[in-house]
Amino acid sequence: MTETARPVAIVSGAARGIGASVVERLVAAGWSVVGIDLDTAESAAAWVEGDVTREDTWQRARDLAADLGALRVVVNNAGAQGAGARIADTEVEDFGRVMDVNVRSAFLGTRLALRHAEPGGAVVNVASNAGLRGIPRFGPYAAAKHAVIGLTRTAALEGARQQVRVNAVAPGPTDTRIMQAVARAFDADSPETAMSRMTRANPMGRFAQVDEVSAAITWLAGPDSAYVNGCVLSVDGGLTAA
Amino acid sequence: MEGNLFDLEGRVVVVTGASSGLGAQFARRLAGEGARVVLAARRRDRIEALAEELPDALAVECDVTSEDDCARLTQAALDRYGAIDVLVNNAGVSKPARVEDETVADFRQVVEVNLVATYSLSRRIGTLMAERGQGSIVNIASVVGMVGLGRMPQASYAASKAGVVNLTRELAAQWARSGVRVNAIAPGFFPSEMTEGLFGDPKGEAWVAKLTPMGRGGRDGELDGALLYLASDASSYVTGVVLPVDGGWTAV
Ligand SMILES: NC(=O)c1ccc[n+]([C@@H]2O[C@H](COP(=O)([O-])OP(=O)(O)OC[C@H]3O[C@@H](n4cnc5c(N)ncnc54)[C@H](OP(=O)(O)O)[C@@H]3O)[C@@H](O)[C@H]2O)c1
Ligand SMILES: NC(=O)c1ccc[n+]([C@@H]2O[C@H](COP(=O)([O-])OP(=O)(O)OC[C@H]3O[C@@H](n4cnc5c(N)ncnc54)[C@H](O)[C@@H]3O)[C@@H](O)[C@H]2O)c1
Repeated sequence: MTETARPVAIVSGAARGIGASVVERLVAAGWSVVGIDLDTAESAAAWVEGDVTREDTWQRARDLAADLGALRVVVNNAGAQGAGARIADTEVEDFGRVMDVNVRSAFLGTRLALRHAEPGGAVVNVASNAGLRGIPRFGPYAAAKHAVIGLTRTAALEGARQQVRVNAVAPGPTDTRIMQAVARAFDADSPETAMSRMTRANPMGRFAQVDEVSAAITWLAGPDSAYVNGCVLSVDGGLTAA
Repeated sequence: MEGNLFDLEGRVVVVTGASSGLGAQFARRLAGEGARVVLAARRRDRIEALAEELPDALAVECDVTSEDDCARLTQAALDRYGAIDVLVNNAGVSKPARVEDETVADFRQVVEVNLVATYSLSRRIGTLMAERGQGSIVNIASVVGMVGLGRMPQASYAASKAGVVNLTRELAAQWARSGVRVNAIAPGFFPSEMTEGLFGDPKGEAWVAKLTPMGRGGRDGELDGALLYLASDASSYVTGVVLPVDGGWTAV
C-alpha cells in the first residue's frame, strides 16, 4: 500500500486504554491514524495534543488527516466517567464537564465525519453499558452515554444516504484506569472489594480486555460491517442482556 | 488476540436451514474460512450437493422440529468431527397473512420452527458445549423480532423472532460462566427464497428502500461479517447481544 492509498482514521482518546488498542489495530491493518489526546503517544502517524471538547482540536485533526489522504473513519473514544457522586451531591459544573468530554466531543467528531468523510466511511462512537441503564453514583456519565447513543442513531439516519455509517460500541467494565477510578468511587477504603464485587456481578465473571473492545470497534469501522448502521453493539460479557 | 482475529480454521459449525438462502451462503462462507460445516435441512438433495462443493462438510437431512432428527444431527456431527464449536440456528419459515386470516395452527407451526426448534437445538448442543467449556451459538432473529411491520403482516413470525431475541439473552445469562456465548443477528431484508415475493415486486423493493435509512435492502454476503465476528473469538467478551444488520432500519 502506498502512503496515499492508506485509509485515514481519526481516533480520539488515543493515548491509552481502549483508544490505544484501536490505534494499534488500525496501524497493523495499514491505516494512517491521527490520534487525539491530552497527552501525546508515538503510536499514530500524526498526533494532536488537545482537548476533544474544543472545536480547534478537531480542526487540527482534520488538517492533519487531509495531509495523509482521504478521511474514512472517526472513532470517538475519548471519554471520562466523572467524580462518582450521587446526583443530589453533584455540582452542575461537574455535570457539564462530563457531558462535554463525552457528548460534545462525540458531536464534534461525528459532525466532522458527516461533513468530510468519503463515501464508504464510518463513525464509531464509544458509548458504555452506562448508556443503556442507570448506574448509581455516575448520573452525569449515564446521561452522557445515553446521549451518545441518541446522537449515534440520529447521525446514522442522516449519514446513510451519503454512505457514511454511524454505530456505537457499548463496552462493559473494561480493564483500564477508568474501572480503577470507578472502584475507588464505590469503595474508597477498599477498591479491591468493589472491583471483585463488579467482577462477580458480570455474567461472564470477568472484565473485558481492551483488545476485545477494540476488535468490535475496528469491525464496525471497516467494510465487513457494510450494512450495519445505527446499531449499539454491547461488548459486556452479557451484562445488559441479564 | 494475535493473528487472524476472525479465525475459524478447523472449527466445527452446524448450520441449520443450509439448503437455501442465507443458510447456504453462511455455509459457503464458513467453509471458505476453513471451518468444517455440518449442513442441516429437510431438502436432502440440496445440502448433499452443497456438501460436495465444500472441502470438508457433512450433510444431514433434518427437520428441526423433530427431536429425533435433531438427536441424529448432533450425533452425526459428533461421530464425524468429535465436537461442535459453533451452532448457527438459521432454519426458519414465514407465513405472511393478516391476523384475521392467520390460523392458530399456522401460528403454532411458525413458532415451532423459528422458536421452539432454536431452543431445542441450543439446549441439546449448548449443553455439550457447556460441558466442554467452550462454544458459540448464533441465532438468526430478524428486525421483525424487534419492531412491528404491518405492511408485511405475519404475527407468527414477529412473535417467534421476538422470542428468539429474548431466548438469546436468557441462554447467554445462564451459560455466561460456562464458556458458551449466545448471540443473535437481526437481519433487515435480504434476497432469499423467503423474500422472493418482496424483492420480485418493484413495489416491495421500493417499500424496503423507503423504510431503510441506507435506502436499500441487504446484499448477498452482507451478513457474513456479523456471523464471522460472533462465531469467532473476535467476540470473546460478547454475549447476549442482538446485532442488527439492517441498514439502520431499527435505529429509526
Ligand atoms: N431473507 C431475509 O430477508 C431474512 C430477514 C430476517 C431474518 N431472516 C431469517 O433468516 C433465516 C434464513 O432464511 P432465508 O431468508 O435464507 O429463507 P429461505 O431461503 O426460505 O431458507 C430457509 C431455510 O430454512 C430451512 N427450514 C425451514 N423449515 C425447516 C425445518 N422444519 N427443518 C429444517 N430446516 C428448515 C429451509 O430448508 P428446507 O426447506 O430444505 O428444510 C431453508 O434452508 C430464517 O430464520 C429467516 O427467518 C431472513
Ligand atoms: N474502561 C471501561 O470500563 C469503560 C466502560 C465503558 C465505556 N468506556 C468508554 O471507553 C472510552 C475509552 O475509555 P478507557 O477505558 O480507554 O479510558 P482511559 O482513561 O484509559 O482512556 C481515555 C483516554 O481519553 C483521553 N481523554 C480524556 N479526556 C480527554 C479530553 N478532554 N480531550 C482529549 N482526550 C481526552 C485520556 O487522556 C485517555 O488517554 C471512554 O469513552 C469510556 O467512557 C470505558
